Amino acid sequence: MAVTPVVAAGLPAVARRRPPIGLRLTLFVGLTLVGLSLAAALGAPVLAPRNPETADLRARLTPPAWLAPGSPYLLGTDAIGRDMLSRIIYGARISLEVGLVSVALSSVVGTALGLVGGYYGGWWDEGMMRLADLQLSFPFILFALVVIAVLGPGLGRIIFVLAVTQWASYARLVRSEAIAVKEADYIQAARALGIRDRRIIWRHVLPNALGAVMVLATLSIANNILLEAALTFLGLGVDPAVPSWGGMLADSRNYIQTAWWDSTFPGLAIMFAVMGFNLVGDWLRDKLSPDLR
Amino acid sequence: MGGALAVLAAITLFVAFGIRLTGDPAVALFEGAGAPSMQDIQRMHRAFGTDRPFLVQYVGFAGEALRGNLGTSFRSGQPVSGLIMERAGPTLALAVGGMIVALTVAFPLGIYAAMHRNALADFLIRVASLLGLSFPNFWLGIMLILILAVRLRWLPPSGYSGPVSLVLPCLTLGVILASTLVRLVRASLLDTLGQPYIRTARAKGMPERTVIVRHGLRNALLPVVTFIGLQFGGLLGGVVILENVFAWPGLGQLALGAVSYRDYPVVQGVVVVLALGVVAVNLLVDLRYGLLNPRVRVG
Repeated sequence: MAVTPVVAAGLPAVARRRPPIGLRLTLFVGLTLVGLSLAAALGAPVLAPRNPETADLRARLTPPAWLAPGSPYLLGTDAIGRDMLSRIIYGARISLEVGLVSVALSSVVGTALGLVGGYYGGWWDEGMMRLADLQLSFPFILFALVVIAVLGPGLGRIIFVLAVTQWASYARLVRSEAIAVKEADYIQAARALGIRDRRIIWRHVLPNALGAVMVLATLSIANNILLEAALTFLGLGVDPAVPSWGGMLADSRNYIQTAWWDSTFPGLAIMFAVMGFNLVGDWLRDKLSPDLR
Repeated sequence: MGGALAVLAAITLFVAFGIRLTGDPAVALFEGAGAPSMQDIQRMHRAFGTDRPFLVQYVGFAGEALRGNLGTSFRSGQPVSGLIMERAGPTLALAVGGMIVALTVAFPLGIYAAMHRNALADFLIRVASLLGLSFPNFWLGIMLILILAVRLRWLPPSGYSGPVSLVLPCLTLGVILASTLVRLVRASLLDTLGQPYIRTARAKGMPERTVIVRHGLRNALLPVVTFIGLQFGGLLGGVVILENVFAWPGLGQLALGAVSYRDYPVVQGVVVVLALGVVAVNLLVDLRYGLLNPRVRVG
């Protein structure tokens, strides 16, 4: 029923593109933003000026330091007087942990399944692809809503939901790469030489697919950070007591009229982190697999 | 068709089973009204039909649903189809409005970027789309409320009161959708413009505008249409969260509330309707695909 897009296999590569403006800039800005988020996540206890959990009710909703001369809170405080800057720095931990772990899980599982399915084919491949189709046509938000309602919110559960919903993209991608190369002459030659399947998959098929997987994985980190923030914002994500960017935005909603900084800075933090991974992913795509564009 | 039905069955089965693991609707109903007795709970279960085995409940629900009856809400006692009809309008308005904004922004910009590839404008459009891809959609909503409603007081911040209240949510959804769409339009058009028949068209002296519109755009439309269809499930996620941000009385809000009240029939009903929408759009995309490109047969 599904329409398979016509793949322009075997056509001569389109003439080499002129390098777009700012391709190197893309990488530089991307790596800087990713580096900053990683540094914030790893070095939070050192970098954060104060404890992100400590509430100071006398200092509630203090504006950022440049609007409140003499205030020790650089980015202001939230509704119960916790330091926004420190909470944002600690929030990087949740976002990056969710992004990196969920992508690591789904990409490894999906790649392994795709390799085996694509290379060997058969009923296993057939069944797996049906399951992948099903998974991909299941609207994420409905899946997440039900699973979180059953399991309850929490960091591990969010990672689980994201990983479960995304393995299928990797499996599909890797499977199609595996099918495309498995009949190639050099693989036939390797097989004729008596090299075992496992070694062929590992040495020849996997490296062919790895570029595309890396692109998808990098862009998925960005996407998963966004999804986690959205779920936490809806109250379906990580524990509200833990400082997280989505949670901070949820807290800020009642004070949107009075404290713009509460709803502005956590969003900027999400945006910068996500943009970092998006930029790196874009750069990788240009470098590794222009056809994915 | 078989595939579409299987997807529908799997989604509803999953949701019906999952929602029954979340908690007892009878207990949820008595919440805040003092501790109910065992008899009260059992009486509620008999009334709800939740004392029957799961598969019996599911088959009953599915059979009724096929006849257009989605059951009665545990909480309000109203027919689920009525509740859904009430909320479907706002959700549809938001989704369609967002899509209109996205299309009107993405097409001109995407075409312009493709025609001036690697020029400054192309770069700026690329940066803008990247920004749009990196915003959390709900945060963009909050920022627009902050600027346009709280600061400038041009628009109502939230709620559903006439056409003006549509502007902010649709703008938010549209900007987010457009950021992906603009890249796709650009890439797809560039791909098409590299084809030999475009060179032929140019060589025979056809005006550039005609080349782009009649030959380029028409063929570039295919992947864009597919994408819009495939995005529909994702669009749904965006709608659910934006409904939350803008206090929009739509299906997403209905579902979120129903999940927390353990109102099984409402959850199932909303899911059936949404899943039906997603499946129908995917089917429609497959068919449109055949119309746009006669080489593709829908089997």
